Amino acid sequence: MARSLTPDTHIPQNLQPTTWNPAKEARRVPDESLHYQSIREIGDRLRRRELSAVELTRATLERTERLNGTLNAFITIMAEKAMAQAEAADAALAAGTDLGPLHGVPISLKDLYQTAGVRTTGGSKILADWVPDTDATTTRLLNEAGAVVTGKNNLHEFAFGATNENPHYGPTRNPWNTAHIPGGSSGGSAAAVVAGLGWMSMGSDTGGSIRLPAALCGAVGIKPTYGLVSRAGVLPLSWSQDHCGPLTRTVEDAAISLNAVAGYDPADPASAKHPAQDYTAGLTGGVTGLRVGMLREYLGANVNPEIVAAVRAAALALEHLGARTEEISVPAVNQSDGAGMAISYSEAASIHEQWLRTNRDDYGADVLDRLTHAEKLTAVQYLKGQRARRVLVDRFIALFNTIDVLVTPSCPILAPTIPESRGNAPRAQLLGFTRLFNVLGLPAVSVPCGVSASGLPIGLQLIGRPFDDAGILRAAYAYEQDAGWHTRRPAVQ
Amino acid sequence: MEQAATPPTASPATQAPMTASDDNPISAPTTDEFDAAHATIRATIERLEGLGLNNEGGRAVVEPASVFHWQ
Repeated sequence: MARSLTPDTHIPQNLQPTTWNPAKEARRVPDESLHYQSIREIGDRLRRRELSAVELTRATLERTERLNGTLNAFITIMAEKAMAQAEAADAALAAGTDLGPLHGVPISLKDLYQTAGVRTTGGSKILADWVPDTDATTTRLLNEAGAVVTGKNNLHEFAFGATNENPHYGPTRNPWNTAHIPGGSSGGSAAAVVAGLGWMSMGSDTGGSIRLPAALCGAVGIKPTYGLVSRAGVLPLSWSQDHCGPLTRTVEDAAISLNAVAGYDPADPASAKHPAQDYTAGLTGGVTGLRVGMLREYLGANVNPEIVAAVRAAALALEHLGARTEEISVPAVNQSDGAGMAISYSEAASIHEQWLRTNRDDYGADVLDRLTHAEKLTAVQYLKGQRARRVLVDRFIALFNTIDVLVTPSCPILAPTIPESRGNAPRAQLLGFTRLFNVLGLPAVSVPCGVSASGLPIGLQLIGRPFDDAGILRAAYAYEQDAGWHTRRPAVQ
Repeated sequence: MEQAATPPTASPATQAPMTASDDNPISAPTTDEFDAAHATIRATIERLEGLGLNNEGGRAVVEPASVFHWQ
């Protein structure tokens, strides 16, 4: 239970800010719009002492408690630990120690990220009581950046699904219409940031699990270049296709978050020795002369017409902003589905091999179904996927000699209702436009680009060259600021 | 001690109304459904041959990507 600050709370003299008034701090209640300010705006308010991290965290926790009954975005709320982190953040700021833009800012983590002393369930029954004694690398980096972790987000069990209907912890609901799925597997993360329950949530993406929920919930979600963000201490699904990245409400917030977590980690065998980079620098550089390709194969008859219209309008907007857009064709994408499937299924079966022997009955039905298919795949089929991967990587590297950014819809369908999402057709479609880019390892970001007539968000996916994460963020930022979809808020009761 | 989040017990006014379909959880597929789905998975993987993994004479001309292909 959080401790309240009162006029009697003793703060050592050397840690008190010069203008701090404990009585005033204890009574002031932040207004609702607070929860939708940007990381930069909140940081400015913290540094001007208009707001304390304790106050901010308390307000976030109260909102989370109030809305989580509806959204089910969190499996575990870390109230006590979060308040302690907030107090430490305030003390550090008062002492003149500024850890950067995330200092004192409430965030959350998909419940795949190890958190020392706090259970990490993987959204599963098997790990329901697992309390790690070490943090994931990303958890540690965010703690070192002064972020305040308020809780662990709900997800599709073991990240092996796209609906976030979790049989052990309940379904997460889409903040725009709670009858609909938020998408998965980082559905809790997306629902949390869009509903103002924190400024960022770290998700994971093996076939689309950051970008899909970002698209269906009207958030920003980036799957960075493979190897850019450490996977150490994050429960794996597919070693060669797992990517870690942030979900936020704006592109700038995503860039700020990426700054905190990107970088070489010797604890992750796939970590890339890529030079450190500031993903916020150049964000406002614009798109003049940028060569943008629209992937024709992802704008066909199988795509919801409202989505096609929104994506075409987004491309036109980029053109008006100075980009050069053209429709391009890569026929190989029509044959590529099997690559991601062969690789991710086989690797998942290997990861779960022991539990499938000892805890088979503890899996949810849909995840067990997928793992059973995966167990039956042969080594030849797995290698076919890896061979296809080489062909596809070569084709797309060649493509990026002629364009700078590829744009597609993030998803061919609108968010289905929870019952509809159990059908084979929707489940097959949800990851249809994202999975390929996990096979390729290219950076890909989803940003809001419209709303359907039924009020459901539509996402635009921008893909770039290896390690051009800054480039796709710059293009996404230019579009976002022009279009303004990021300013919409769901009316969650 | 961190607390588990409050289970979803929102009132009807704030949560989507339950329908008959909502009462049916995700269920395990029948054997026929599983076999049909697996056949689809096999066929999807077989379509990768169209990327030219083997030449016309059947010789394998593409080797697998390295797991850490960006290193």
